[in-house]
Amino acid sequence: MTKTTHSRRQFLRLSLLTPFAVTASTAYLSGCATSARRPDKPLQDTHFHFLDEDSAQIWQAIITVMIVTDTGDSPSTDEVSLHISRIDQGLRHFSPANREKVSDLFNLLSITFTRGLTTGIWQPWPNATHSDIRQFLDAWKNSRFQVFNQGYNVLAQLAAFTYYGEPEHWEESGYPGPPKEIKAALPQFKSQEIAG
Amino acid sequence: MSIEDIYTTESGAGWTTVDATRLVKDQIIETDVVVVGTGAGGGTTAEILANAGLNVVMVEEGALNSLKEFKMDELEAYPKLYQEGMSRVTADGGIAIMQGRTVGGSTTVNWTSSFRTPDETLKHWSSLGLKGFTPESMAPWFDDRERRLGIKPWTVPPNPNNQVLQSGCQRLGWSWHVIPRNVRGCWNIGYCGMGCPTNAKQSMLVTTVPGALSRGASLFYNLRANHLQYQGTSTQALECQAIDPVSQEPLPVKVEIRARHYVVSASAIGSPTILLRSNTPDPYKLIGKRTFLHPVNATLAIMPERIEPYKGAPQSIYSDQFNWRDGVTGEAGFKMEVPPMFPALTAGIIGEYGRQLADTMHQLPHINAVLSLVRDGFNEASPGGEVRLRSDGTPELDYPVTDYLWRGLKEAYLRMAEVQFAAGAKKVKFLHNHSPYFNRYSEASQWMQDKELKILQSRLFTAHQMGGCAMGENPSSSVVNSDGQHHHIDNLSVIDASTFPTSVGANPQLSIYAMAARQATQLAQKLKSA
Ligand SMILES: Cc1cc2nc3c(=O)[nH]c(=O)nc-3n(C[C@H](O)[C@H](O)[C@H](O)COP(=O)(O)OP(=O)(O)OC[C@H]3O[C@@H](n4cnc5c(N)ncnc54)[C@H](O)[C@@H]3O)c2cc1C
Ligand code: SF4
Repeated sequence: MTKTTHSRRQFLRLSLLTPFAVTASTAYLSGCATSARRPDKPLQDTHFHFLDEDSAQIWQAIITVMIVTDTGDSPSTDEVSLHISRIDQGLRHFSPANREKVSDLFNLLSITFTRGLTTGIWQPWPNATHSDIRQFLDAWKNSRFQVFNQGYNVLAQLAAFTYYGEPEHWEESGYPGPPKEIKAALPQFKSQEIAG
Repeated sequence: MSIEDIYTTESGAGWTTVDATRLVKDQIIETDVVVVGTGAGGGTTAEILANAGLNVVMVEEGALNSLKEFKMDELEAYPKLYQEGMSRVTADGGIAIMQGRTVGGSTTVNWTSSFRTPDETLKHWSSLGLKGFTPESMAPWFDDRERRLGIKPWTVPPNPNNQVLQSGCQRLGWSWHVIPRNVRGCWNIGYCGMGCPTNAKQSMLVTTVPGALSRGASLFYNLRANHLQYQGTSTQALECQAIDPVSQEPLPVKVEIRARHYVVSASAIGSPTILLRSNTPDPYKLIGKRTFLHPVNATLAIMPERIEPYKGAPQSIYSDQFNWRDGVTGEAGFKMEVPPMFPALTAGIIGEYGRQLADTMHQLPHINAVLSLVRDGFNEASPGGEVRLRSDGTPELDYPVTDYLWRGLKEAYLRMAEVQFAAGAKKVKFLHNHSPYFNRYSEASQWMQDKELKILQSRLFTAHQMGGCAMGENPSSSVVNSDGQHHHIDNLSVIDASTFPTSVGANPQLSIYAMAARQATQLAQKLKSA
């Protein structure tokens, strides 16, 4: 029981911190933005339904660590863009209350002050190294505080679920997809075949 | 028989189905009975009332997703067919809540396991004062629903994923049995959780909802029941609002439904929410309390042989070896089954990232998973959770995992690893954020014995939400009586999983079908004679 109250208090502290940090660091942040190293290639699809540029940039940094492809590399920028737009698509279907929670998490991660305090990453996301990001993910995963465990679970689940669910990546898990002969026998796939 | 989408082809011609997002102005509708929710409870009730000649209006918050939408694609299916776009969790984020939000409710996405309510549970409920729930009085209703929904033990050999559980139990001398399923002409392909692509699963979407529609009932979908309006001890109207099927934001169009009788079948979490939003008389503050989940944990095995855990009927073998291990009300028992393992779901539940995630995912064709459903609510150390309203009127479930449940979950982790090693697993890991793979049961067992289990680190799920509008004959400890009739409002019933006074101790759908069939039959008689 004491653990719960402890983590509740921590959460309270974070949520008190956030509005303060938003106002205090906006000016600071806009100053930083220009000095941030641009990603090698800008994201392909910036017409997101839910994510904004800041949160897409966070995803871009995190995904290259969260996902290791077949060849043992990080996914390419194009793959990352596609992946982020699929995550965005999934988030559209979240309930309003849960979308707001995800927004709060991304605000926390995008504002320098709260990001630095909670993740140890003070530099802008594109400058964070893989080892910085790994350290942050492990710290959140293993933290004594529920609020960080929850943050880790949300990020890890969204990234992993979406990546391995994409037909382009089925092969990486040896999943053959729905049997072709079954699709051929079902009416809901007929129009698709005609369309190409 | 050729396979067709019964809602868009000739079969459905003449059915009244209304997409509330297409309504351009507010509506007032009058009817004999309005049924909120089209899942196990609502679908069953609507068909029985319509067959009795009553005018029935069905109100469903989810969309009308039918055969043409069922394309065996995880990323498409889960966000569209599940509550909160598959993002529903308990208040502290510790338990992922899988629940349907579509015409047919959770039956449209469930895994077809169909168990009669265990005698132990029925006797326990009877000892709590419930009337009409003895094994003898329920038997004809189970027979009736088994006939209606094609429920029979699965005669096809279990897929390799289920065989692991079977052979492990055989080696250990543990009990195991074949699961009965609600299917007709099943193709044994395994996509039940994404909406059955062949209409074989006898969900409410293809059985009772069409049954009610063909007897003149109407179906409004993308329509949320907001609240009931009471005057004294009687319900005057149900206020509903169109809901955007993607964002779940309310749209401007309102529908008011005036009926002789109101049946709430929005399930656990959903039904208490409607009653709470309506300020329903609740002198003992019981609405939303005692919500149960059958909390689920799981273990992952890498098997030497190919398992292809994404192929074949998802659940066909179960073990009740530990379900009643300490009597009905003693230490928490658990039922062991296996889940189907598709890539997105697998990647999402294992809780890893980077190289570790990729290493596990590469072995998917050799993965077996075993899960345990922990029986909650039978002991006072397991009082369940509480549904609360968020500021926007939507529900949130606070469900503390008590020490009593942790003991049950720990025992379940151990037994699942034991059964997988007995079946020849090369490696086993607990679905827990800190668990490595173990090569031997002794290592796994040592690690688990020493581990203090905590919320958000043990990966927990629920596909069975129950309670929150408990049945009983005593208004000081229950919300509705044994017939589902509300204790304080005359023309209001609740008929769904929310009325169970404890969890079921088995996958709940057939328990709901049989109870609803009995309660709806009584209600039809009452309304016809009035
Ligand atoms: C993935 C999965 C697998 C499962 N597998 C099995 C299995 O193999 N065997 C088994 O026995 N059980 C299984 N279950 C559980 C079983 O399907 C449910 O217990 C059962 O369907 C519950 O019946 P119900 O009538 O209470 O609610 P539901 O069937 O969930 O129906 C409730 C309906 O009410 C609607 N609703 C909610 N609020 C409102 C509102 N305000 N206005 C209008 N409509 C509303 C919902 O959208 C939903 O469609 C599974 C569940 C899931 C999610
Ligand atoms: S296994 Fe049978 S019931 Fe399940 S989706 Fe396939 S055909 Fe439908």
